[in-house]
Amino acid sequence: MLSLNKEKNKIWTLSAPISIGIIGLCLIPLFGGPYLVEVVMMYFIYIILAQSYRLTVTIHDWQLYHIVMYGVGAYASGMLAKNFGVPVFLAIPLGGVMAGIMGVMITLPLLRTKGWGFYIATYGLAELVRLSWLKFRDPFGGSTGIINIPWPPEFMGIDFSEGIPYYYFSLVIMLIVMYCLYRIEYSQLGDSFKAISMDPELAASTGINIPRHRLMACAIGSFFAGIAGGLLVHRLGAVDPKLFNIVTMMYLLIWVVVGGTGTFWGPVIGVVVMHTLFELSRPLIEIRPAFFGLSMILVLIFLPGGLGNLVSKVVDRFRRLSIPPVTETD
Amino acid sequence: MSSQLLIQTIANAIMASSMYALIAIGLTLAFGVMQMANLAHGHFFMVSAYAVYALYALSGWPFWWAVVAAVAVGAILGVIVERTIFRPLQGDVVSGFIATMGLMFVFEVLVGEIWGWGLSRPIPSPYMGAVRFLGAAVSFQRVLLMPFALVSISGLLLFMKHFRLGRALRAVALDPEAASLQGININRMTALALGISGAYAGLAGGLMSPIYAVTPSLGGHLILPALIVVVVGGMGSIGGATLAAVIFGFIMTFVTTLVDGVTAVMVSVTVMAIVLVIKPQGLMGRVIA
Amino acid sequence: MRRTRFGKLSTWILFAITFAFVLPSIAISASKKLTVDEAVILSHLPDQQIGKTYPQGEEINVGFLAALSGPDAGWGLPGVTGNSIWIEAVNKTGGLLVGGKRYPLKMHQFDDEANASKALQGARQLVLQHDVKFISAIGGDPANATAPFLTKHKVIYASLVPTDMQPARPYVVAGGDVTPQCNMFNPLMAKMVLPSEKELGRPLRYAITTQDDIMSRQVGAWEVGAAVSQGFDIVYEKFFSTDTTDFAPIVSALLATNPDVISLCEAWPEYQTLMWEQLYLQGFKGVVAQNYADWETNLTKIPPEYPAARSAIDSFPLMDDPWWGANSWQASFTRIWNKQYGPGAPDDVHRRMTGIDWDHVVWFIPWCIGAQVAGKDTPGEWPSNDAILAALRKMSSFPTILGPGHMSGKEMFGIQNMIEQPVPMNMFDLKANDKRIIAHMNFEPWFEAIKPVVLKEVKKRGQHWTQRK
Repeated sequence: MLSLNKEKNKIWTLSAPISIGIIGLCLIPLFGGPYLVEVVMMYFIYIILAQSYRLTVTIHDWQLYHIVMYGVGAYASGMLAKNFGVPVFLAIPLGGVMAGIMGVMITLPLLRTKGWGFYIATYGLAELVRLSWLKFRDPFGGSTGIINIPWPPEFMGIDFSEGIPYYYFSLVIMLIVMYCLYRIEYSQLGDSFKAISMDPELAASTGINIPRHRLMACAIGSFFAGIAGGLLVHRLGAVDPKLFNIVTMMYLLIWVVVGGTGTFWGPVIGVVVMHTLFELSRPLIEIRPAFFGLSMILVLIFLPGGLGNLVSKVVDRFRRLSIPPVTETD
Repeated sequence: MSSQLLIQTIANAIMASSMYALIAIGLTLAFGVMQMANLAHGHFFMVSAYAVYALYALSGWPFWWAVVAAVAVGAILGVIVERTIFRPLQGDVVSGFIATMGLMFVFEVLVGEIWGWGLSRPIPSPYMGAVRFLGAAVSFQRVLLMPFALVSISGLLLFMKHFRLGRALRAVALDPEAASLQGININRMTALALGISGAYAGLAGGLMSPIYAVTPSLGGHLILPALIVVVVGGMGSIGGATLAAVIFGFIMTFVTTLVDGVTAVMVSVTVMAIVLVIKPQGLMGRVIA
Repeated sequence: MRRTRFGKLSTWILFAITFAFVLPSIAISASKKLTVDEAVILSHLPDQQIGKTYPQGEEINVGFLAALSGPDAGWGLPGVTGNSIWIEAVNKTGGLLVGGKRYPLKMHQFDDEANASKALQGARQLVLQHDVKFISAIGGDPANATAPFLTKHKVIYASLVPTDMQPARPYVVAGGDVTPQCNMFNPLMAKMVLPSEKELGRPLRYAITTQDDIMSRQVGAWEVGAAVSQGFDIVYEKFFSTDTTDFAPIVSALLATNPDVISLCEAWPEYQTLMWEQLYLQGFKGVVAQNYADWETNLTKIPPEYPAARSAIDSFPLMDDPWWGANSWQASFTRIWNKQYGPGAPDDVHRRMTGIDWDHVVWFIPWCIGAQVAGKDTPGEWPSNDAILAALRKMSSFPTILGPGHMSGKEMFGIQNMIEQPVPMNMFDLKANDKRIIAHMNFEPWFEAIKPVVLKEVKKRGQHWTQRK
């Protein structure tokens, strides 16, 4: 009984701000100007990356291949669309599938590994993939990369090479991805994932097949990373290995760690706060990394558990004030 | 491969291995005692190299005194970072990782603003010239590294084995709770560990400042190979780090010479992945219970 | 481990110290009067009419899109100084005189961290928020991502990488750093100091290595083509990763092929320093050529007799090379730069002037020249970039930093968007302990003669613009 109430309350208290948020995002192109549209579009891609990363991290440990999965999706979608004429709306999910497969292939040999060996091994295997894009100029283009990757084709008179239509396209994709991840989180599958994340031995003793679930989580997470890659590459029209190097992985780690993986919304908050800080500090030019680095350090020291934790506590306190207490006999 | 090239390549590989070892040794100590990664280790190296630039190249100090100063700089940086970053984070590995990542940014900007962006800093080679042995030529500056690497490694091993402080460090590395129950002050030990680690980074940075291109991004180039060597060797294992340094030194050198640099990195990461899949705790690492 | 309040306090102190240290002093603009040196550098403009008043036009915005922070900052950030010097000089006279009005110039910077995705974001900000008409940039992967957008908005993208040019990108221009022409002269220059094929009884051997990036791949192909046209056998042609810190194995591999010439091609300054060291240690006795030699740093690792004996060739000239003359444009520029950015100056950048400091100005000035010429047809209005480019193409010659230039590029890149100017070639001078210009080469006639051989090699490596699909 208790849990049902909580679930209802949660959905009720969440749907209001979420709806406001979505309406706000829809209105940005009308009132924000073309550049803001561009900037916010990058947030969508980063949010997909961060949120999908959380899924793969909570089930086991911090992997360092996620950005390369982003790259796999980008290269796959770009090459399918350009070399094989696959329509972009189909190429992007196919790119996601390739990324999902690759994620599974990397996780498979590392099922028994944890900790630093795991981090470095995932980094190494991912680097192997990335370096093969650099080494094999045919078909990946090497350091020169691939250009002339097509935009989504005209659809009902809408030209997707323009900023605003592509913005709505990315927004829709992001909302679908977030919805999928949200549903997974609060489903039976998600409960298994959470159980494995909190206490693997206990979960195993209740009959949950840990390796299978881990591979599933990594496949799903990598799939969505690949989707983000598809979104990126069809906006840029080009791709190169440098986009997916350790520097980009560092930014992803920063967003997710600062946001915290303890709550579902942590990564989103991490992206929004840290990336906004990053963009707002552009006037500092070459000093900017120092400012950004210091902010990271301060948040981590003074807000352990991440920003998501902080927001969660604030929301809980707010909720406790507005909803009458639930007693045991209810 | 001609015999001349073979001898030269072996000489290059030995040099590369000692370079990796010198850089990795401090990092593995920090890992072992704190179980946390100091991602800024490469930047301690870089800042120490800049210290040598400022003192030796710009202010005319004798080279060896500049290196001593670099060691001190590294040690001080290590203690400061332990105090301000690692201690407040209380063993949260991931937060430590990201916080030291932030430090990397800070150091790069500091160094770039003080000593300029752009071309690498000109640091004179105090020992220009080559050592020739069996037809192979190696820079004297590099050959100098070998005795330092050997002495630092064996010195550290001796310290950890025969000195009370060193044994206390090992105790903290093996079992922090038991160690604190024995009366060992964990905070002081981690400060000591990071201080020593920083000192080693300073030594490496100082000695190698004439060998590398000293730019603000030098630290970033070095931390990844250092991490790989440390993890593959086994975190906390000085012998393991040395072994891994030799393995990767040889792989990188031989494959670069025979094929090319990109392939060399690909082979290295493959070997690394294979080792870690078979033995996740590293070649000589302990299995964490 | 107990959480210590002291630990947190020291974090705050660290924060405060770093911030106080790092907050830049805001440069207070020097006097508003035009100096003699500034007048000299403005002399490249055909019609600036310094001193005469004209009605004010609106501010013309230009962009600077490059890596301003992080590992690639060394290539981007220095470029700001040169452009700023030009803009400051122009604005002191009231603005660029175009079509009877004086238009002040304003530069907007965007840090793209050499990342294609951020470059596109930057291009959008510069154009959509700041309405820039001209962007100075480094090029490479960022050029690929920004080209469609900038083409649509007809904004000129002045890349340092001529290999970004192609007919599908009508507004991408280049030529500032005379690559790949200068690289192609390396084998020619080397041949001048080597014994001939006849004397040796065998073809001369050419080895080339550089980092693997988008520009080096293409420039390398052109240089190899030139080497083949000069009768060289190519004995080594490999690219190393941009993460390389140990150059001993690479030099060992190079030497194993017994080359007569080793070209470091487009190797970044920090790489070429370490390679020179290894070449010296491992005893290379042939000719060494490259694009950018940094002798101040190199000579800390090798004795000056060594590069002198190697006839060390490179092609980024020094602005204070006596070749130009004490009253030259270059000398004036150097004086202005030292006064504003040199040691003790208000904006002291704590480093020597590099090639990047002036490299972007090489195209910026001709764009202004083109605006003045095209502006005559549209009085009272700022001309379109199409008109500016057309005006430049019509001119048989206009002044550039490296000498009289004209528009070219159809043969090599399919579109006449490249400034062709005399190619400076340097050799290491023992007396000066630095590089000195020994010749300015005329590229086009020489290229005519060797074209078929060169194009064959470039196409064999897939680096011709027609193969860039």
